[in-house]
Amino acid sequence: MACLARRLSVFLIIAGFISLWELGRPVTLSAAEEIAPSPPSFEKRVNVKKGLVAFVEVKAEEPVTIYIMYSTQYTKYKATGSADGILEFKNITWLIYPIPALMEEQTVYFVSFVPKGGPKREDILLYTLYEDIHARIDRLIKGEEMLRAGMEMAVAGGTEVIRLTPLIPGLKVRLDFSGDTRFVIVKTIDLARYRKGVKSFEQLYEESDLKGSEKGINFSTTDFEDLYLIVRTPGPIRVKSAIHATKESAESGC
Amino acid sequence: MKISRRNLLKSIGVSMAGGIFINGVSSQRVFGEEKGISKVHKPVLPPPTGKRVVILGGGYSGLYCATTLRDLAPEAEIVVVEKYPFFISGPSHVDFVAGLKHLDEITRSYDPIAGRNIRVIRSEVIGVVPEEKKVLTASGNLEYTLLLISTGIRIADEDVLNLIEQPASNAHAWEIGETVEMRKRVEAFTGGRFVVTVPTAPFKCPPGPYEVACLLREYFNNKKVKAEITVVDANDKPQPGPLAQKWTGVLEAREIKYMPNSKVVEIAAGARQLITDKGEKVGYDLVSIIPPNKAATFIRDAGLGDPFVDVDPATFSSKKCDHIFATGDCAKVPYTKSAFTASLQGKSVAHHLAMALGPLGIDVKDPDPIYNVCYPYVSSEESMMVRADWDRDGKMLKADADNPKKEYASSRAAWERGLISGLFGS
Ligand SMILES: Cc1cc2nc3c(=O)[nH]c(=O)nc-3n(C[C@H](O)[C@H](O)[C@H](O)COP(=O)(O)OP(=O)(O)OC[C@H]3O[C@@H](n4cnc5c(N)ncnc54)[C@H](O)[C@@H]3O)c2cc1C
Repeated sequence: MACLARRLSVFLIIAGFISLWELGRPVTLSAAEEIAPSPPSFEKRVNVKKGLVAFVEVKAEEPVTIYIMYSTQYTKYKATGSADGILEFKNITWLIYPIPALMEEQTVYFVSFVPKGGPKREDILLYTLYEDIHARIDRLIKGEEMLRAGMEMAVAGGTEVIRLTPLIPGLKVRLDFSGDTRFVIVKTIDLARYRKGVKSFEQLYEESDLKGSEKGINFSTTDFEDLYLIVRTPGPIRVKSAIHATKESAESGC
Repeated sequence: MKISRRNLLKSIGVSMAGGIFINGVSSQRVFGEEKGISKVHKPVLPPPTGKRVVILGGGYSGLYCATTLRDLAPEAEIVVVEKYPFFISGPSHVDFVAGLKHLDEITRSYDPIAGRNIRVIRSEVIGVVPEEKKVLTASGNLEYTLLLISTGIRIADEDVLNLIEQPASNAHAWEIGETVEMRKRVEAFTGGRFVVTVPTAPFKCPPGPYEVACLLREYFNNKKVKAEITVVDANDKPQPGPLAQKWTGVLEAREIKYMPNSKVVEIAAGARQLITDKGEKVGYDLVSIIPPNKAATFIRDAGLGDPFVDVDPATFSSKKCDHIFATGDCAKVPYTKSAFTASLQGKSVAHHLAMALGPLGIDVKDPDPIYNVCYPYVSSEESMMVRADWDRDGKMLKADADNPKKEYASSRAAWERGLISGLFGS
């Protein structure tokens, strides 16, 4: 726990956020009711008042799958076990996700699924930090760059597709890989072509500007579209992303 | 002026065929040998003798700019370039698809605009050469002193696999030709699975796809057609933000299945299936894919922005070129892509254009900030209400929404009539 807090502080100092994130208190997730036939799951309801954005941070010692659900999705999921249309992050050890409530109060459920032998409830920490949206936009407009979302994910080896979301123009994206890997970042249409076999990894690699075979990449988004990171690695690695908002992203209107 | 529906559709058909041809031919040549082409093209009009403002697109934004600028800069020459022969109001596309209105009711001739000493040229814009202050149209070149781009959105069919090769597999209400086709298909639908898809925001008329689903639920029910309706949404919740929770309840009450976080990336027309970015398959009998919305390709090719024109949200002036401005759906601004904000943006940019033209002897004041009011249908008799306000720099100040009410449906009708009569007088 102390170690986690220290690691978090180091990260937040780098992100220029320490004063804000210190306010966040970790909570232990409650055990969810069993929905057959699923692995153990832990959950937390996050309520965000109008005008605020909640940054929810989840940390797990070992990879877990995290679902983010709105109330109606949660109700349906509880009743039927259906995860239709639910935002899913797989093999996650660290996640920061923004829940903005610019127009109306938002209630969102974070549900973590743990594989057999995976982390226990107390090994999964959840922090929530609330910020005023307008104050944040003002700071962005004045030129500050602020963390908006991030995650760390375990990749077992082979080829893996990771969705980078939610994106708007003008964001700064930093990707880090814990080992050498070949990667390419593509738009949805090219992901569809890849999945269909119309384009190979090598073709996409050839065509894309966002690619590499190193330990990381920095780039700025130009579009509202989500991007997909396709990684190829011979062995297990961790992929970490940090997405920062900028003045330009504050002006793009989403 | 009233025109017959048959003639209108005939003229649209002709114009659209022309548009496709022009795009096909020109996009390669114009941008491969841009300067060469701009020289060989004959001018549409002789070079300006005074100050000429050219407005690309005669939709809400372009026309409100033209008419406002006419008052603010009486000496300036104002030219609107529009590819269609008639103005057709966007918001009533949904009414038409659901059988609530005929197109004749929302179609106007450009004559009243021309009658206000504004030149309206019917041609398709195929390029802009900022360094030469020149617009390339299918009919020739056009020089300008200041340029406003207000060409609305382009439907990016190429972002959904197979849609370009099989255009007949889809119909939607986001373009006029497609809207006519969609109405035909809705009338012919005898039951089964109807699927509407929503692209990633921002797109034109954020509540539109959900309105289409609700109005068609009512239409099919009235016709006793058994329909299983699904909305497949690329966004994490229904749009726009202030209506998200209200829409969720409205869709649920109408037994419309809602699938968020699901972006359609492919249509397999043979199998009657849509495929999402997660690889999920959604079957359909009648489909309405709304592909991603982007600005016209000539904007990207001229280096003015991609997917929308990069502008300062306060003045609408291009971040790349100070004699170019952009408003409405084609501009990268924080305002909703709606007829209402497009109209206000048009009025607002007219002030900035007038100031940029130089001393006019008229006191041109800073325009009012932009706001949006919209009344999305939940049925033919009830609408919700949403309002959003921004400050002068485009920062959102507040947003409000209200539940469905009968009075909002009448407000909606009056609201659109007001927008149209503000331009055409009736
Ligand atoms: C189904 C539907 C429902 C809607 N409902 C509402 C609503 O309830 N409320 C609301 O406020 N808004 C609504 N809208 C949105 C509204 O219609 C648009 O946001 C608005 O029309 C945008 O105005 P604009 O001037 O930017 O673009 P447009 O009105 O699209 O005008 C652009 C013009 O440019 C022309 N053009 C495009 N390319 C070229 C070219 N290359 N050369 C020459 N001319 C060109 C087009 O023909 C068009 O006339 C709805 C739209 C749809 C489709």
